[in-house]
Amino acid sequence: MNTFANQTLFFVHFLANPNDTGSEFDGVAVEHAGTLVVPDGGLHARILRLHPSTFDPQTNYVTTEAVSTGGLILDPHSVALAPEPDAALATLVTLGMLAPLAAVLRRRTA
Amino acid sequence: MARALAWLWIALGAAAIAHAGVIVAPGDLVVGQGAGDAILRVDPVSGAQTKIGGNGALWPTYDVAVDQQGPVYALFGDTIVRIQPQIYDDAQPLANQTPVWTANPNGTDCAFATGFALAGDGTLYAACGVGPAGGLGVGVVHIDPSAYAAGTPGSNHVLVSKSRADTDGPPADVAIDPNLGLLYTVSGSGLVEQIDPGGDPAANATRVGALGVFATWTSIAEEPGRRLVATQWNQTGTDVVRVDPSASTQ
Repeated sequence: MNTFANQTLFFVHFLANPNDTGSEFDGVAVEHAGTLVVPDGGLHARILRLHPSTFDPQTNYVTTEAVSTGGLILDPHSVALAPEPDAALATLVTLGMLAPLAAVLRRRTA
Repeated sequence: MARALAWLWIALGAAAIAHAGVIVAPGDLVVGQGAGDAILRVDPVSGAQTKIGGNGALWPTYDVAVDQQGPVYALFGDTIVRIQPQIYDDAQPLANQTPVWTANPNGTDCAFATGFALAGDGTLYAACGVGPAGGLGVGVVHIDPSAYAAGTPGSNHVLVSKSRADTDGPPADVAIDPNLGLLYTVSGSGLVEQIDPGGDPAANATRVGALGVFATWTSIAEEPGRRLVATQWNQTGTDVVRVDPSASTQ
């Protein structure tokens, strides 16, 4: 199925487990660990995690796992990852929150 | 140290508003669903599902994004809304969302979008796959949510790129490289374009990938190291392809 072997672009062609193929990948999110999360709609109605590091060029398959299935998940179309906060901003805010406490401690120790 | 302080900041913030509703924490997944179905927070480890919003639109939730400050954005094709998960009420599932963009069905550029990306400055880029009167061949628009004006659809976006859409087909989704300030789009036919949003909308796109036509390519996202991943919709064999735009010879 992968016809891109003769191209100079770097492609990695993932397929889900051949016995458990996905059906409708309408979105993708990249997790910090490098794993991918996709909403698998249509026949399955589940959220899948793909492990690109397990890619096997002989088969074009990667390890997959179901993150969540059933329940409220009826027809997933899209997925996003909540980002890490901006570390620098968080530091400033935290220091700002601690400043009054530091002032009290200084007064008590003066 | 900074990371620890960041988590402390989040914990303090969460404790302060824990009584108010659902908190979407870093690393959580947000899932958009078909028309009428709930928008969910999904725990990435346990898979636990929690409603954070509703879809009252005629269209599916084509795309979602999470802001660093907490709000969730959801695209229903001709509308993008901002959702506040912390005040979600199951009795009024649409009460915690406010529109930040509506397409103009009679406009000259974007009448319908199927993907979007959230920039670091709080603005949005949307991939417009349908032009006026259902015609194809539009491109990417830049949306300023703060300039949204109810009753004047399409008034808070500007066309960023259309140069390749005319020949390569309309974009299905858009991703942002935050370091380089570049945009990447994938068309339904699998053509990947790199766009300089500051350039001439008629000449600022370069093709960096051609994924082939197996079905319909629907989404694109950036991986670390300037790599992209794209997925397609195919009921007989779904694919996810990685692309390195810097290695393109096209």
